[in-house]
Amino acid sequence: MLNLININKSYGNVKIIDSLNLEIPDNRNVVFFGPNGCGKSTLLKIIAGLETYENGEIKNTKKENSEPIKTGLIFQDFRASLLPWKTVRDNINFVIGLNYKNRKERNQKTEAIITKLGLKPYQYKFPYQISGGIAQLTALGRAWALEPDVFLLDEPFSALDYQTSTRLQLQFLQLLHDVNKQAIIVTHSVEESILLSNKIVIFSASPMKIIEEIENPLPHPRQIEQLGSETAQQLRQRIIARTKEFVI
Amino acid sequence: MKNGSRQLIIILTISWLWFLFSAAKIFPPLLLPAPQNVLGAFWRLFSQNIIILDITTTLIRVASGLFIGITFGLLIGFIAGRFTHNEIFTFWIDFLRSIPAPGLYPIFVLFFGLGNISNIALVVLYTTMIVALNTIYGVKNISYTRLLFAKSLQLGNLKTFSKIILPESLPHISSGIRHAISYALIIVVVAEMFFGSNSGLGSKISEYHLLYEIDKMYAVIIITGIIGFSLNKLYVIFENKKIHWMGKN
Repeated sequence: MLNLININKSYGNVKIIDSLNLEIPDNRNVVFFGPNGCGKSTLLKIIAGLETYENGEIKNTKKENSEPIKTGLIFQDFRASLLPWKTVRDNINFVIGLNYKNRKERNQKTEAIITKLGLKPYQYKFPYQISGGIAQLTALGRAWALEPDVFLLDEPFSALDYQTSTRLQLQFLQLLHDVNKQAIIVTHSVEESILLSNKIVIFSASPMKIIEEIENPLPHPRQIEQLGSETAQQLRQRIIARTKEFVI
Repeated sequence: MKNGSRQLIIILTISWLWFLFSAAKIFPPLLLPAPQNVLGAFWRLFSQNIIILDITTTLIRVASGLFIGITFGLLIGFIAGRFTHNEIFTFWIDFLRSIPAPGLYPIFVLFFGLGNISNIALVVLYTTMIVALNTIYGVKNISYTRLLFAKSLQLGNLKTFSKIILPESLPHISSGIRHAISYALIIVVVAEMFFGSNSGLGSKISEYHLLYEIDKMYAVIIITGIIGFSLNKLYVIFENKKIHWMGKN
């Protein structure tokens, strides 16, 4: 379990995150839902160790002597995060090479990821030669290559069309299930929150505070039809009710 | 129509116009010689082995100046690019760069004397500045997302430089080198023309000019043009192959 205790973050005099306490249970996908600029991406970067914070603590109860958690970050601008001078395959292979020096083992790991994600036909293409969906899968493969405890996704599907993003979301859930990992997903999409989460954390802006934490009881494996179910409808209504005051 | 054949048609058209102009004697042959005469001079320059040494001399000056200049430029650029406040570098480079190269040549002659060293040193100065500016720009304009990615991998300084910053700034560096190549040829030829060099394409242009061997003068000018054009084309081919992602992301 990841335990965020009393996290504070300011940029200059502007308070972004105010005394945030949050528990992220094991094997559960948690969605951070909130308006743009509320600080949810900043919080994600704090968890990834890419941002500092003023006081507070992040405890990782899963590992002994609270070793920092291993995260695999998928960026909002996922295409720009890929290295354009490397092919799809080499983008993944490069990251694997950080942990595995043996060439044979390294290539086997790369091969496994590429096969699993269906990237085989695109493996020798460069990032500027592939579609948004394939670029997203490459970014996912690269994050997976780090063998993270938790995937961190920053509005990962917002640049894709509905069909592509839904397909990738389901593929991503399947992958999480297969490798027995969890994810924290930042989004401002209600549908994405419902489809991907086990738990939805609704945030308010300036400074960021938790409005509500909602459990998502939809059973796994998730399917697109579940978005039409009674449970999904109830979740939708709850999310809308909790954000209404910020809309009007 | 292919690019190559289009260019061939343009060259042939210009040659024909040139031929008609000179045949009509609109300008006296001393100003505009007939193209067949220039072609003859061209042939003599090569067949009598007059020009090969000059081509080699000019190319060696260009190449050695470029080699040293690019090395310095990269070093200065990468070091300066790492500083947040590098105005002190960019100001001086911008200022020096604004002085046309021939204007500085007398100073170089005072320090290094007439000849190869002054000539190459001037190329070194200018190409260093061009490459350094472009390198600084390249390092400064690294994709924020990819730098964050490097940070998330905890790559460390050396690996971040070699695996991310260096390839990331290559497109900018490369366009600096491309400019430096054209500059280097200009500087070498101009210096050879006006500052008493015994050999080199520039010295041949001014020699034939002074001797009123206008056919040969034109021929050498065209040879210089062909060399400049080919250097640039060769570099672009290399660039497209090695820095294929340039301008594509």
